[in-house]
Amino acid sequence: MMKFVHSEYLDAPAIRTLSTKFPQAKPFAHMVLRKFFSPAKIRRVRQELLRQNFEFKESDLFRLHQTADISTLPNKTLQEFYKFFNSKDFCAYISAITKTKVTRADMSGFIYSSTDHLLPHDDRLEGRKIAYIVNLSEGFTKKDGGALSFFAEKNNRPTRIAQSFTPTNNTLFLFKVSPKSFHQVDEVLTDKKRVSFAGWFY
Amino acid sequence: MVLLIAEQYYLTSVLRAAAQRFAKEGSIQLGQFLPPEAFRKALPLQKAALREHYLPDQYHCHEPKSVSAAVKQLQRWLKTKEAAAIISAIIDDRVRYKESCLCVYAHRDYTVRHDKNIEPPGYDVLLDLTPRWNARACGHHSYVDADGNELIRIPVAGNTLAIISRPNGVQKFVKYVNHFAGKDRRVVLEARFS
Repeated sequence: MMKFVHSEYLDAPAIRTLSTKFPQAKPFAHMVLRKFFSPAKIRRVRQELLRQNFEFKESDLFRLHQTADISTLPNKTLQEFYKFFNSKDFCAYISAITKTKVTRADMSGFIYSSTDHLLPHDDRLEGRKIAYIVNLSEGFTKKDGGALSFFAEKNNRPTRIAQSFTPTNNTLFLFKVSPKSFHQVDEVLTDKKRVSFAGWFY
Repeated sequence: MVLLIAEQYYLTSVLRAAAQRFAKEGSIQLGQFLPPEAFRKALPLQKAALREHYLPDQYHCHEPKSVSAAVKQLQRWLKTKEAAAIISAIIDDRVRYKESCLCVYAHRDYTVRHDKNIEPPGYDVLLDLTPRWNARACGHHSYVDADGNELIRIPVAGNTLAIISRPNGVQKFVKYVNHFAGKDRRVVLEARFS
């Protein structure tokens, strides 16, 4: 099952290093794993994702385009990717590097087009332990927007953006869901598409 | 005598027609509410120095550091018996002024519903002083039920007065202002009546 993951992330010293860094990250426990997936495999997953229907969704908090839960989509490649996220091996891997016991994940696909955004929130909901984003966006620069931004906080209230990550292809973001985990997706300022999977480990 | 609001809104027939529409829809947006000269006097707000208000999980908006005498006059008018009488005639109920603020929304500004910021039921009155606006920029007021379903949307429209009934469970937000706003600002005198 772990054939989806780039080998450099799988050896024991790498896992030890990641598990040390994760809880120490500021402004809250997180990790950014670049070139995480096997390039050939994730390219295929991206192609299949872009063939799906994305429903436009809008509220006070967001404006974006989202697929149905990936587990419900009749697509062999996406099912395989979903099953990989829910495999015992990968859940054990996530548990090891985050030092948080997880056993399953949900998953949806997202496209953020021009003007789409997700305003600051902490993701807290019953059972959610680790949030993840698989960023599959191509060709973004800082001026294109769409960054994942993490907020500093005071007394569990967000205060200011502490860190921002420009969308990059084949990058896995992980962060611990907590009263401090305020984050947002900055408005997309370009006609490029910000493509990702996202969900939570439970 | 210089009228502060457009002459037509002193006419019983106009207020009666507005009342009928309000009764049917729960909101109304009255166009050309100020005489052109009074509306023009609010335009310098587009370039006024601003004070930022930022609580990331609740709001990001601005207020002018100072306002002209003409705008202060509009703020005072909302507290008058005349304003209350016009609003009462339209909603067919007696109202009392509670509070108001002059809000400026620029690119990246928004408000969101929040458990720590529940508004009591009442009537909202929005005097829109925005001279020009790209409708693609959003920045409209949206009124939603407890499940987030939009009940009423008040589009950005300069020189309008919107009156919105906000019963229990209905909350409002200002939709995130996106980059189509450019350097334009939405300026709204927001008042609450009970």
